[in-house]
Amino acid sequence: MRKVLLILLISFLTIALLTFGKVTITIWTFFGGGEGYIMTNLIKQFNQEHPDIEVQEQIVEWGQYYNKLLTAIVAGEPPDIGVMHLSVLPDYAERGALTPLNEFFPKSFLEDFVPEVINKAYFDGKLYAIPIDTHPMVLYYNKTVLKKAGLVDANGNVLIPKTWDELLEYAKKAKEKLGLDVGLTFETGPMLGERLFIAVYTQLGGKFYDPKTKTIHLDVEKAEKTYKILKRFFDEKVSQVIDYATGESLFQNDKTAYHINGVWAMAVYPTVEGLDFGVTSIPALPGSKPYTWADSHTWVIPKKPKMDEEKVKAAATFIKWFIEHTYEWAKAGHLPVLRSVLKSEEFLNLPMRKDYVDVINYVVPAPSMRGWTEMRQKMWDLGQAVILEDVTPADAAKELLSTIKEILEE
Amino acid sequence: MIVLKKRRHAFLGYLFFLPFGIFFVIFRIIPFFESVRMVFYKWDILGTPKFVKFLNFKKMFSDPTFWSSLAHTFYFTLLTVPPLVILAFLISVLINSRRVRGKDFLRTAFYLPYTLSISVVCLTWGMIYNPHFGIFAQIFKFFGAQPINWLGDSRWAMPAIALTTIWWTIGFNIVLYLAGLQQIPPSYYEAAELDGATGFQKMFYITIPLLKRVHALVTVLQILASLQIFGQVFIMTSGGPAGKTRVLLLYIYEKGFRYFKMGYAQTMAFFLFLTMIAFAYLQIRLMMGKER
Repeated sequence: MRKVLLILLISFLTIALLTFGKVTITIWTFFGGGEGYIMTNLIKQFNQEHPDIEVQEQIVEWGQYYNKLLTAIVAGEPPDIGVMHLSVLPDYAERGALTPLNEFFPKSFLEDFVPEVINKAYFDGKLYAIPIDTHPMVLYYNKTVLKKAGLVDANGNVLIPKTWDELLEYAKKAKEKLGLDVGLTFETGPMLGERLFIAVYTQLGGKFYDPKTKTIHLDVEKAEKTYKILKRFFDEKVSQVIDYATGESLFQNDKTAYHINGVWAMAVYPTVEGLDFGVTSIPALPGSKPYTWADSHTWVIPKKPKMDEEKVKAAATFIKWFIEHTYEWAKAGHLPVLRSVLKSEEFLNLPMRKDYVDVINYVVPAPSMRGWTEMRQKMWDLGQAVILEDVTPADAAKELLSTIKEILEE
Repeated sequence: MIVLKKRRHAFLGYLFFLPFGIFFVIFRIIPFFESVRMVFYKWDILGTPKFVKFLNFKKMFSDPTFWSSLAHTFYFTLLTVPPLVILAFLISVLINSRRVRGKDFLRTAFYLPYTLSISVVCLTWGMIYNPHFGIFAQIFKFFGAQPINWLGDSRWAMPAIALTTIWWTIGFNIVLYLAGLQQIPPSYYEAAELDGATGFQKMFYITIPLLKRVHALVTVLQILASLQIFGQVFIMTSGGPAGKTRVLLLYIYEKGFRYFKMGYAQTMAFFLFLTMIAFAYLQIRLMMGKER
């Protein structure tokens, strides 16, 4: 009896000591699907390699993430680490919701980052986020569908559209030849109203966001042209109003020839059985480079009313470790933001990366400014309104301008 | 002695009420006054509130999205209240009628949707409405017609959400009506039949009038619930397409929790609150008018 008690006591004390010495930190992410697994596995790996730190992951649904994060910060109970898009960083940094990271990451650590990306992680001279990837919007094409529709060149390779006119033409042919509902799918909320808009607008020569003055300039004429170009796909019935999941589903089930989505889909598409596809940059207007939208994920350390030094140190340790495993994270399809990894053999040998690694040169910065959250919601609404013909492209452009003015004035 | 007993009873009564009372004051009364106070401030949640007097009201009355959100809310209420009251009444009469068998089964069947959580209902109906893979789409295709993109169509999005809501919540009203119907003494009907009353006359001269209180209750509850619609829109359309289903509560949520404009959101919420009080008051006066 005494022996049993002694053993129990010792084991209890040991467990108590082990957990006592452990620092537990929480991390909030919004990654689902294929990339969700990669993130979770990385976190597990970190925990295994660091017995003195335990990182507990909480996956929050993408659409609700910022609402929940904001509420948590206000309540004084935010996670120790959170993911944050570079584009909304100013809204939070400016309001004092984030912890400055300068002291945890020396200059040598930051040197390898792609300058355009790391520079946006600063606000008022202080570093508030560590970028972990850049995810541009690209064009996916379904080889099975294109071959069936006879859209191949003399060598039997599928036709890859280089201009918007070509995309419209090929997509239409594929749709009509095979009796499909659509020829090109893309989600008609953010993907259309914000991302495609910024891409095409920039291709028209417009400068949407000025990083120096941190404001948005809108050329109403170019905005109108942008809406017209995008609307054509709907006028010609090549695209339809569609939600994200359906758009992907149609592509994966060979029910559409082309699909526009972010590179994050590369975490899943190569694993879909029977899906024979390729990926390339989105089309360009004649004479323009194929500019496209991209945003970046970053890690931030939200501010708490009382910061626990141990936890902040543990958080910084995790972030450093994660950056050292950038290649692993790049398997999710994103482009890494460390120059060394971008150039590495290892990275370039991942499926189809060579086909879109160049896209990083044509990435248009998603506006990093106060009020962007509200502005882009308006753009999503306007994009839909244009294709539903509730408003003409000309009026939509004017409405967008007045909304921008309103928000900037606040 | 009797007075003392009464005092003790009263004291015990208050004592039992106290725990709930404390919570009620802390979590309901005080926040209510706080939120009304916020109406006169500009607050971005993370900073300190700034006193702006009536600026929020000015902004609100000149905000086209506020008015459109209000209109959408009224539209939804118009689409849901009549069916949820009248249809519930008719179904409950049917269930309650002598000739119908399996009353318990029917009552349970109609009430069952109400027990489901909003996410389950909305996600499932979202799939039903899907223009490529949904049930309605398959039916349309079977008849050679072009499927309608219910939730992505300016005309049909709100009616689609209304239909889902009706399916989901009608059970509650049916149960309320059934309870009321069972209170009507069968002897009234028997007497009417002796006088040669038709089914129609029985309905109009006995059933409907005797259920006056239930009508009032169901209608008021339904109007108040419909004016507060949020979840279904949030899950099924996020206010789309192109903001056509953005209801007031969704706009309040967006302004307050997404765009850091809490004071303004509070102002709109206060407006909705006053609107609801006005409706409830009018409703009760109208329907219970004669009895007074």
